[in-house]
Amino acid sequence: MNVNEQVLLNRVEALRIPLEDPALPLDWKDWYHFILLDLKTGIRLLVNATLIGKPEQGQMQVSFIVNLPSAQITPELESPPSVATFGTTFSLDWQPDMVCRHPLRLQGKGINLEINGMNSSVHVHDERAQLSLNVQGQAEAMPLLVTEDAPFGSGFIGWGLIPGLKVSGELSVCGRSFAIDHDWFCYHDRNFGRFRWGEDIGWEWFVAYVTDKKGRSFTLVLDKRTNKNHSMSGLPYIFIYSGTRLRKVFLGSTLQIDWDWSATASLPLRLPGIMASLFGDRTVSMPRQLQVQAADDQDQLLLTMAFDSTSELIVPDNQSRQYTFIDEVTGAVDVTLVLQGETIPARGFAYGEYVH
Amino acid sequence: MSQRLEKTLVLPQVRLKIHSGTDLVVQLLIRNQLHETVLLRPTLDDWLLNDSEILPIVSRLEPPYVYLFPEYESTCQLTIPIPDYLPSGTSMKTWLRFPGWLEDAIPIQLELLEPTENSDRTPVIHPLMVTFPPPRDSKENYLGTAEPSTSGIFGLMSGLMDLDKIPARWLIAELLTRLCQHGTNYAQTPQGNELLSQLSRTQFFKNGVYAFSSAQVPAWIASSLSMANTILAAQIGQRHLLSIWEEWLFDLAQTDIELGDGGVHSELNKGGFCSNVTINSDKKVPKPAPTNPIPYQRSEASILNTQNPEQWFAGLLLGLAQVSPRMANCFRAIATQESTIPVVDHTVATQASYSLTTGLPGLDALPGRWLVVELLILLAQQGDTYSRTESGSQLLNRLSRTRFFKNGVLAFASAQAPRWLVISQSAAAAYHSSLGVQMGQGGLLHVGEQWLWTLVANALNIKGIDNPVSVSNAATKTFVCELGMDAQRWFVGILLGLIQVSPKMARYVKAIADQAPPPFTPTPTSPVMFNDVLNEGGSLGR
Repeated sequence: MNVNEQVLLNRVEALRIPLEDPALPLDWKDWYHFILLDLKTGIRLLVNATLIGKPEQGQMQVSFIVNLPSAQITPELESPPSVATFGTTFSLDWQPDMVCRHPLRLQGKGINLEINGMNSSVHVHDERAQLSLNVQGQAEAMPLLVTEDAPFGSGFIGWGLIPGLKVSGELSVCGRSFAIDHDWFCYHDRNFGRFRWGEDIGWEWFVAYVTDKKGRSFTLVLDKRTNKNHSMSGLPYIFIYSGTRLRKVFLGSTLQIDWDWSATASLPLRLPGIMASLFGDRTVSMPRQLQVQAADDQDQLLLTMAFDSTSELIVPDNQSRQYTFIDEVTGAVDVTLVLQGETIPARGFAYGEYVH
Repeated sequence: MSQRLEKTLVLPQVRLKIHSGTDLVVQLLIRNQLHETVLLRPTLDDWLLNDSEILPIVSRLEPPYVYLFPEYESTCQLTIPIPDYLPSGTSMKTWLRFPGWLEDAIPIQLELLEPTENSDRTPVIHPLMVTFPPPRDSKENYLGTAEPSTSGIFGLMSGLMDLDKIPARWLIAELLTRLCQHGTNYAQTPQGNELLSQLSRTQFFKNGVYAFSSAQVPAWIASSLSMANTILAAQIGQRHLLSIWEEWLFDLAQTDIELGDGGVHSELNKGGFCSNVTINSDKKVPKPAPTNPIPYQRSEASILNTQNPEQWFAGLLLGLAQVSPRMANCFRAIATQESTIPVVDHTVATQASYSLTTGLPGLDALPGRWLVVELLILLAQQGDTYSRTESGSQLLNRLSRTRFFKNGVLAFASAQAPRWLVISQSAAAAYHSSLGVQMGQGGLLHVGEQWLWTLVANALNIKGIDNPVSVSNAATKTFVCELGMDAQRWFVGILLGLIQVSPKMARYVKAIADQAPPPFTPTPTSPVMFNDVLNEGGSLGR
């Protein structure tokens, strides 16, 4: 990573909530998002730490979801191939000493997240859910600061990403430990802004990590900001990284994104528990597959994802009774990329969100 | 292009030790030793803490603008609160900039001391004198002083920043010359010749020529161009401003800007584009030759060598008729109506020449970016309107599936061109309104077109004149607000606007559009209907 990229990385990582502003509005949000995938075992996990509001009048909200092939967790049972999903969310009252800006540190019961330049460490722990993660990372991929002030709901949203960290550490699920080594893929992004959950907002997002037969790796990141029912959207785009470098962008009408939904409505895995019981009677269709096609005058992309695990996060506004639903989806992904005449088939895993 | 400056500027530096929690007050004394009036609005970059962390800066500027005539000086005051939560020993850096006038910045470097025990927190006052132009050091190389973070932002931004340094008159002069050249060529064609011979018999035409000669417009254009050439030649070689922009656009079709040099390093995060990278591909649209590859002296000899106001005015009218069908219709209407009412109206001509004489020196005061902003916004508005027509939307539909289009949007987004446009527009509007009467209701172009129509005798009722293409401040503001920071819409607007005024550009863009892949077959929209949670009858009062 060169000097310019390190400066940019610091800008991406900087905490944006203006803590020093005495009139800090309560609709401020600032979050740190990590996705880890292992192509060998098929284990995937998500960690999100979000600050909402302000010290003493806000929360630090943490989500931690692990998806893993059932055989990994219950090898003694000869169950058909399926994916087990474990998850926990917890919300902590934001005390002033929980957040440090320089170097960045978010800490509270069950969470310790530190980022100092290119180095980061994430520790999440929920004893009752028997889930813990302890991972160190070093940023490798070229950072992108996509926007700092895109209009969103009643306010704005900004985001940046670092789609490649070299990681090592350990994951523990129900008493079973899994080593995290340099073969794992780690994606990190940052979002910040002022808007209210439950407004007329939504988005479609995924990160897919795939490798081809020559051993090359590609990371694809989609972003499309929408309204709640996804009838209107901002400019959608896909960033395609080859290794740690940005290689190609498709945007706007070069992209076609098709979600396929389950025919019958069912009760999805819902987090957090208190919200799940609030919406306990609400059955919904969940995303089943996703296909993305893209083509410009030179290059093409065909991507298909089949989701083997879905869950729904319910995020309430902190000022009035309104909610946004974040459908988290994950599954295997097949990609065919045509870049400058070379056709590259590749496979891997993806994590995505359909937010409404 | 800016890299070619050879000598570095000698700028003051600020280094202070200061207690956290106090206010730093920079008292600026600004001297104008340029031969033109300057309008300044200093800005500060975000804080850089210990050379790594970025912290948003808060500052107040009093008064918000400084307007300085040559050889005058003035003061303004920048108040910067220093956060009290930072530990002592923290190093804080920011850069004081004068957008539009100075590409280099004045570093302000602070070292924090323990918070003061004194509860009244007396502000620290630091006087700072800045002279325009800043003195130059004859030894150092310009690039030696560039901050790594800012040196990466060449590309489109450097094009925009160069425009800042160029007073509007040079650009106006160049645009007018282009227009006249265009019109002079048109006059050679049968249609052009016919229109000219009709127009030249009208009072409108006589008024214009009279105004042009009494305001010495040809001399003004000639002197502006020679000044611009002398100064620009040193900085950007013999290329003209418009050709730089044109080339930039043409280069977008040949490459993927995110690929960068050899596919290894991307320029995207530097906020720019690689104008010289081309990738072997069968699908290449031949790049047209630059509009004006030969130096001014020869190519524009025909028009520049003449001080004949009639030739200038005729060229200007026909040029306008060529680029704007609406103007063409107005001129035809004037030509046919006027020939039947041979009225001599000296008052109109005198008034017109008066407003032109007072208007031209005013152009000197405005940096080129403001004029460019107006031109771009005007283009964007025309393009935006065109994109809603059937042929416009068809072209856009194909164009949007090409790399050219994607590159343009990315370049606009990463160079933060929309932000530049929005900020410049609001600065220009604030300035216009502070000038009140002189600049009047709208921007420079508006003034220009209003002036043209004052040449028409009041008795005439020409359709279209009441609804000028130029934009009033209110309309511009609405339009700028509507587009906001949307890089795609800005790029679309400006591109489609350009192809309307430039047939060469239109041909080129159409050739690119023809390479677009077929569209995807639209799939039916998602069958999933999301319930309106708030209106659901359910438990727990949700």
